[in-house]
Amino acid sequence: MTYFILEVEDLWKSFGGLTAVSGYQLKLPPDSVYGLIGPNGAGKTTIFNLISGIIKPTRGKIIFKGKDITFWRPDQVVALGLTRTFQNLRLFSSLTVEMNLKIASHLHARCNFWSSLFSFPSFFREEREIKKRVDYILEVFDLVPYREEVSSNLPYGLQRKLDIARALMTKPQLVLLDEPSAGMNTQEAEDLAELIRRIKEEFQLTLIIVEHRMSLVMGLAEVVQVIDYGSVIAMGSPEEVQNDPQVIEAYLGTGDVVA
Amino acid sequence: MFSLGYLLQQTMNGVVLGCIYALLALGMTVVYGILRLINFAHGALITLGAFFTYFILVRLGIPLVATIFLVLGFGGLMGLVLDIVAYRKLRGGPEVALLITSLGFYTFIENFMKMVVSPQPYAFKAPSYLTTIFRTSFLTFRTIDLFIIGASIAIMWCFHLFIKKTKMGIAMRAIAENLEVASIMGIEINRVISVAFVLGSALAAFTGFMWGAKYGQISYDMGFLTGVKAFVAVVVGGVGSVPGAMVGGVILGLAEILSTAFLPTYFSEYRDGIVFAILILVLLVRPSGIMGVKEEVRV
Repeated sequence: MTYFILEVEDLWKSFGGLTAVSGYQLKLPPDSVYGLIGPNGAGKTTIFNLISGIIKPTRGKIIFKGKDITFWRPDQVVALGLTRTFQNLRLFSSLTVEMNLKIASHLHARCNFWSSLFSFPSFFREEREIKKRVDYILEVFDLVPYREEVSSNLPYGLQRKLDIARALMTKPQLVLLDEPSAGMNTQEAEDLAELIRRIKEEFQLTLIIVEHRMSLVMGLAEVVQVIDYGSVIAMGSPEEVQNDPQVIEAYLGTGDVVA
Repeated sequence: MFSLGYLLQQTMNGVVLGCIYALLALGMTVVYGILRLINFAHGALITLGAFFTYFILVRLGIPLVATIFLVLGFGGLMGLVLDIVAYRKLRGGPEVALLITSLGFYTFIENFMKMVVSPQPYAFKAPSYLTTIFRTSFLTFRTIDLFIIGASIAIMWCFHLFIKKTKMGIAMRAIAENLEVASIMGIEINRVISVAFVLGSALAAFTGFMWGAKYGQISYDMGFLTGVKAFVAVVVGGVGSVPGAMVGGVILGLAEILSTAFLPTYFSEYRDGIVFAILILVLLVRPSGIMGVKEEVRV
């Protein structure tokens, strides 16, 4: 049997009378990049919220690295190596770039009040390790000059980058990227695609990307799932999906298809 | 009549009262910053702390150092119970539900105390080493005044370090900014919130002890107005800001004492009113408080 890093079985979520996710399925092999596309309101972000533990499903099962994480708290899910970014940026906006990254390393820090108050050796060792990882991540993301900058003062494109950088501080194996290129211009989006390719290799990540920008998804994803009304209506390589008549109708509309 | 000595004396009295408000405001502002909850039950912890110390320090005669640790532990425990029993289940619900619950818990505890200790005020006879009077050419004060100022400065300094430097303190700031994202960054929300309640409540109980030892009288309803004034201190200083809470508390204490001291005696009955007048004035000039930052509307 092949190993899947993430398996989602028959996932349902309703909010009152509205069914946002109905029978979503996923078998995600490690080291892959999956794309998740679909019209607005199709339930893509809800699926991310369910997988990352922010909301709990009505029915279904989520298995990550062989563990059933369906009803785990977000912090427990992160601790197991699954994290995400947000569609609308949610940086800790009053904190510096460095602090944003440091908070995310919280998980792996073990020192308590007393050891930091009295500066035990373990505190310094831990601080050094966190600083090393911060330096490394800043380097990879070209954010070194902005280290001391308050994150809300950064230009938009850099805030997006910081959001991804922060997610990587938690040492994840699987990252869910929710519309990483939202609000970027074409050039910025191309740079972002390049960056995502680079970090995937550098950190050996498995990725799921929700994206509206077709060029980005089609360029990055090996497999694309098309979601409509909360379930998968088509799945396959970017080329296959683009030519699927059901997809064209649901998502791309009728008429000429422009990739 | 208004000599320099008099001014100094009243300023010291104001600072002592201000320290008490500041410590209360500290606990409130942290809880507000994280949960957007105006924790009325905070006031009840003052009453509980005051009566707890009354029974162990005055009646049982337990040594001061032990009393301090016991009252801190007692307050912390009460805070934890309050969080688990009253607030934890309501998280994620509307903020007003939390507010009403806290008001309900305040009322419950006040009435419970009324039943247990009777509606009569108690004389809090602090041990003599706390009430020794020192006279200098300018100032007259008692050991307890020094104790309050010293303890408050120490506590505020520790608290400042705690928020700035420790893992838990940083987690609190992260949650205050955005609870959901903080949890995605691996922070265990419920534990951090419990710690905030435990710390705040321990401080509140401790101020109950200070209040009793300083003013010599405690009663079942002492927590209400004190708690409300502490919240005024929070708002004056800037909601959610830890240094703001300290500054707000001291300003409020000074204003209350100095206004009574220097306005004609006719006004002294309005000392509580003056506190609220200050609140209105500060908010007219700086709507987000002295050290507050403008808060974004959370979506």
